[in-house]
Parts: sequence; structure tokens; C-alpha cells
Amino acid sequence: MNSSRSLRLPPQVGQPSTTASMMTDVMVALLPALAMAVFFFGLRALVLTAVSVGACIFFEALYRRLTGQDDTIRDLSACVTGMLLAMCLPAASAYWVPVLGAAFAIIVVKQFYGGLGKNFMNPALAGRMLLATFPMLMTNWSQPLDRLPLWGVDAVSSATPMSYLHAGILPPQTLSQLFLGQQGGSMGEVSSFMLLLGGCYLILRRVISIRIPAAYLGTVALLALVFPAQDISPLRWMTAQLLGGSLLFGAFFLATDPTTSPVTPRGQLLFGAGCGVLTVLLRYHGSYPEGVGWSILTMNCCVWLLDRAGMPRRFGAGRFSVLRDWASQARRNLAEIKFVRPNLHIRLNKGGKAPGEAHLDQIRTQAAAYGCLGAVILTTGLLIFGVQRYTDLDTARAAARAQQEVLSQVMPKAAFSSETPYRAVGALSIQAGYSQDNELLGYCVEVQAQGFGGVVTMEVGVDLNGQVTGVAITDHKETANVGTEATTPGALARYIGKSGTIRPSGSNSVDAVSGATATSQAITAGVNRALAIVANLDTEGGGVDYVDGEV
Amino acid sequence: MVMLELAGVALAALLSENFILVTCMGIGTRTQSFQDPVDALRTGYCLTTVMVLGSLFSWLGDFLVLTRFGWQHYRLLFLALLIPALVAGLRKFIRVCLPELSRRMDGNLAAISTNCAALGSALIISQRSYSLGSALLFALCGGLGVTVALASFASLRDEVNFESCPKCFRGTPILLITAGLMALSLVGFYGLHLG
Repeated sequence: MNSSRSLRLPPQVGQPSTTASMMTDVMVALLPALAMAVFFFGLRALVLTAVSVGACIFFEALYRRLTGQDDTIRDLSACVTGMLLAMCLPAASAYWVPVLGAAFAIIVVKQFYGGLGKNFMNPALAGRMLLATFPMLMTNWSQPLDRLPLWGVDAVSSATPMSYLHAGILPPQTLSQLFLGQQGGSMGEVSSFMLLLGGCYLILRRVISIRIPAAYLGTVALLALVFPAQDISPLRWMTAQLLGGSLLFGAFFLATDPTTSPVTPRGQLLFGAGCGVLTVLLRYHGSYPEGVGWSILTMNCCVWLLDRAGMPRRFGAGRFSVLRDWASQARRNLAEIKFVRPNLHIRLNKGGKAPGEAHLDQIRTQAAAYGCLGAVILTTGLLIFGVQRYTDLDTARAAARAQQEVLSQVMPKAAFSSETPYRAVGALSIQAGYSQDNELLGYCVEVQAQGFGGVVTMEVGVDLNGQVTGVAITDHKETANVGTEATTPGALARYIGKSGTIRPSGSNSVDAVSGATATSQAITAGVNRALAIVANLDTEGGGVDYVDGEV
Repeated sequence: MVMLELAGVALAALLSENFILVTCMGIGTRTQSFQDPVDALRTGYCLTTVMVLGSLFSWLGDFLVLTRFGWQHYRLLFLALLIPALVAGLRKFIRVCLPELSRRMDGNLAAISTNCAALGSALIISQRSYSLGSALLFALCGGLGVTVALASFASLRDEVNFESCPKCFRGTPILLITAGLMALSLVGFYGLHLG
């Protein structure tokens, strides 16, 4: 008799649990969110998803065929990967974008490690995050209800709720708009309601356990409650954090991938909590506005560790017995290492005995070795000394010329500049610019601000009326051709003539350069700081000190 | 404010400037450490010790001698001599005083005398003109980051099958691809700043 048959009384409903049935469940759970995406972004969403699924199936079949392995399309895992990948993309993406992501996800992340169940990283998410490292690809978010044409989409860009949250303010959408999905963002992640519906379906069907999503969302909610942004009620901040961005999508569909999440219950809780902590860290302090994808990928790399840590204890073993065993073993291990008192004999002269021939030989080889080392060091030192001496004057001249160039950029009317006795918090240096006839024209303040990839150092010229005469970027770590769009002379010239406090929008504003928002904000912040410093130069206090004596 | 700055330095060294995965300075560690978890941990501990000691001495040398007399152009020479000498001294000390430790770790310690992570951390510290506290913290967290990255990489071997890729990718190529995938997950931490 077949042992798998149940002995319970009929009638019974058979429910086969196979890979294909699990994958079908995931696809069914994704359908409401996909329908919402089609409603918000038009038929293009559906076509993009179809392209992505088709590309995944194609690459899976191709790889399997080329390497002579059996066909695995029927387990539907490639379909799920394709759907998940498409749902993470903006609806305005070009059609080649999901194809590239699918090729990376299926071939490199999944099949190179042996196919379904053997990869250590979520393929769909890895594909999505690879695309996110491409400049400008993941920034064209379209507005919801702005149905896109199937062909020829203009590069549109609208602020998503995450960009508001990243700046520390609440998004303009109402709670119900966020909940139903009337927000900018990736196709699948906009509608929180539909995602919750799909997540509940998966949990009720026992495809995923509730531990990872609960731990993930709980950690984010708790951290958002404890650390709200300034002047915002913690509860509203928390709901915006939970409903905005791809958090729900990630928690229910990406973090719960059975291959790349822990199998032990405690490990799952730790996994969810770790994802939550990293997500909040990245959302608050990272360069990208959204941190869900990065944090899940990072935690994917630690899954084996969490599984070890969450191993259920053997029946009958005491609490913490594993830890105690490990500690006692470590102690035994360390006890083997004993400190031996060195018996030092420091004597220059070995006991009055005349050195023998053998000793002389030894000394000779040692002397040769040390002599070589000394000669090399001496030569190198002399070489460096010589080069430094030879180029000393040129270096100084080049520095002076560079400074003059910066001065001509930030204060075109000034002929020369000199150090001032002022010191201010946040200013690297404050220099006074003078005209040909020794007339004070204004001040050049060197300030720093945090850009996308690091600190942006700039020099800002401010004349005596408190107006900007010019901005020059002296050092930055921004991405070439993307962040540097904000550092072109044309972009910098827009600051000339501004005064007071420059705002991101409205009157007295400088618009952020599209695609280089973080860099633009950094430059605006630096200019504002320079303006504030110059405005406070003559007043007492205000963070500016007058230093007497040595300048 | 100071705490925030220190935390930023620590996070940068741990994640966004991980010496193995992001800046790739520690990639010159001997191959055995990428394959055996115990060896990986030992290399990590040694590297952490050397980095902390190296940054201490290089900071002191930089502050007390090089900057004071305006000899910054000798900095590279100084560091290139300091780190191997430090490792040699450490090895000598351990061999004489802690023979058992020397039996276990001498190979790892010898291998890192030319490791770029040790040299690079000392150089970065002086280039960015960190204070002594943040310099030590940077070296410590950088070493811990190296330890974690090496250990997780080495133990991934037990979890992941590296033999099922096409023949031309077996061996080093698939290891490099794996390292690339792990580095991809750290891209998000690029430019992380506190405050």
C-alpha cells in the first residue's frame, strides 16, 4: 500500500505540494498587485511583465539546453523570477531593461550555482539591484494614473514618497492614497493594499511563514517610531515608512524566498530583524532613497550564519547549552597558549671570548643583508629628496595658479585674495578678495557638504551685499556624467546673484539638476552655509570667531 | 557630535569601504584563507591586530615627525618600511613569548606582511587626517570587516556548490563572481553618512 496515503476517512481533498504548485501560488499572490499596476500605469506594465517572464524562460531554457542538463521550465521558478523582476522596475523602463536583468538573474545568479534551490542570493532581486547601479535607469518614476504609451516613453521623473522620506519630510500623498497605491514608484510596489492581500494569501496557503515579514515590518515600524524625523508625529512617520517604497513587496515576496532565507524559526526572526535594521539605516543615512533591496541582498549573504545561530536545541539539552559548550571549548583552546617569559641576554660583548672564524662569517652575511637594505632605503630616500627639491618651486607655482583660477571663477572681479583672520564652524577657509586697487570686494568661503558618493568641497564667493558671485567645485567623488551634471559651469552659474537662503523650490530657488539631485542639494547646502557665514562675519556670535595674531 | 563622527567612521570601515569586497585592498590575502574558515578567521585576527598597531604607529610617526618637519613626501617610504618591520617584530615576539600561538598563526602573520589592507589603511588614515581615536577605530572596524567578509566567504564553500557551473568558470572565476555578487549587495552602502 502506498504509505503516503492518509488513513483518515474520506472524503478528502488532495493538495499536492510541489515546486510548481508553490510557484503558482506566488504568481497568484502577485496578480492583484500586477492588476493595480496595469490600472495605474497602463498596458505597458503588462507588456513589460510579459517581456521579463519571457526573457527569464528563454534564458533558463537556453542555458539548460547548452549545458546538456534536463529542462526545468516546468517548475515555473523562472516565471516567478520574471514576474518579481518586472514588478521591481519602474513602468517607464525600456524593454531591454528586464531582458538584461533576466539574463543576469537566471544565468549568473541562479544557474551558475546549480539552478533552483542552490543559489545563495535572490535572483530577481540581484537582477533588479544590478540595474539600479546603472546611472539614470532607476530614476524615471512616472506618475500614477498617467497611462504610458506602449512605445516611445519620454524620460519622466517625479518624486516618489521615498525621496520625500529620505529628505526627512512627509510625502504629500494622503494615507489612503499611499495605501491604495496612488504614488510614484516601481510597478509592483505602489499598492500596499494589494500586496497585503497577496501576502495574506501566501501565508494562509502556507507557502511562506509569517516570521520573516512580521520580524521585518515590526523592526522597521519600531525603529521608525523611536527615531521619527524632526517635527513629525511618530505614528504618521511610521505609517509613511511602512507604506512607502518597496518595503511591503520586499517583506512578503523577496525576503521570503525559501532558497535564500533561513530555515530555522529563530534564524528567520533574526533574518527579518536584520533586514529591518539595515533598511532603516539605509533609508535614513544612505545615498539611495530606498534601502530594501540592498538590505535583503546583504542579509542573503549571511543566511548560513543565521541558520547556525538559530539551530533549535536538542531535546533535553539545557538552555544555552550550545553556547556553553562553545565557550568551554574556546577557553580550553586559549588555555593551551601559554606565556613564556623570554630570557633576554642583552650583552654587547660576549664574555670576553675572542670571536672565532665561524662567528665572523655569520656577522659578515648579516652585515651584507643589512647593508643591502640600508643601501636601498638610502637610495630611495635620496631619490625622493632630490625629486622633491627639484619640483618644489613648480609645485608651489602650480598651487598658486590653481588658487588664482578658482578665484577667477568664484569672484571674476577680484585680482587677488588673502587669508582673513576669521574662523567659522563648517568653513575650511575664509579668504578676502580684493580688486586691482586694493578694494575689498567680498569673501571666498571654502565649505564642504555631503553629496551622493562622498564629500563635495567647493569655494563660494560672496560679495559685500551678500550676493553669490560664483561657485567652484574643488573636489568631489560624484559619478562621472551623472552627478557631475550638477557641477558644470552652466549649472553652477545659476547660483550667481542669489542671496539669503536658497530653497529647493518656490521663490529664491535653484532647481535640482535632473538625475543629480543629491549633488545639487549638496551644492545648494554649501552655498547656503557660505552665505550664512558671510552674513555673520561682522556680528558678534553666530558661529564666527575672530582670531587675533597669527593668520 | 564626536560620537556620531566616530560611528560614521566605523560604519564606513565595516560596510561601505570593506577592505575585501569594496576597495579590494585585502584581496591579496593568500588563497587558503578564502577556502578554510578557520584559516580565514586566523588571518582576520592577525590582520586586525596588525592594522590597529600599524595605524597607531603610523599616526604617531606622521603626527610627531613627518608633519612637524614637513617631510610628508617620505610618507610612503615610511609606511612601506613600518608595516613589514611591525609584522616581523610581532612574529619575533610571538615566537619567543607565545610559542603555541606562533605554531598556529605564524603562517597567516607572515602572509600579511605584504597585505595591501594593512598598508592601505595606514595610508588612508594619514591622507584623510583622522584623529587618533577615529584612526584606531577605522583600523579596528576595517579589520573586523575583513574578518567577517573572509569568514563568510570561506564558509560559503560548504553551503554553495561551486562545481556546477560550466567548466571554464570553475575554480577562481566562480570565486570572483561570488565575490562580485557579495560586493553588489554592499553597493547600497556607498556614500553612507551620519549626521
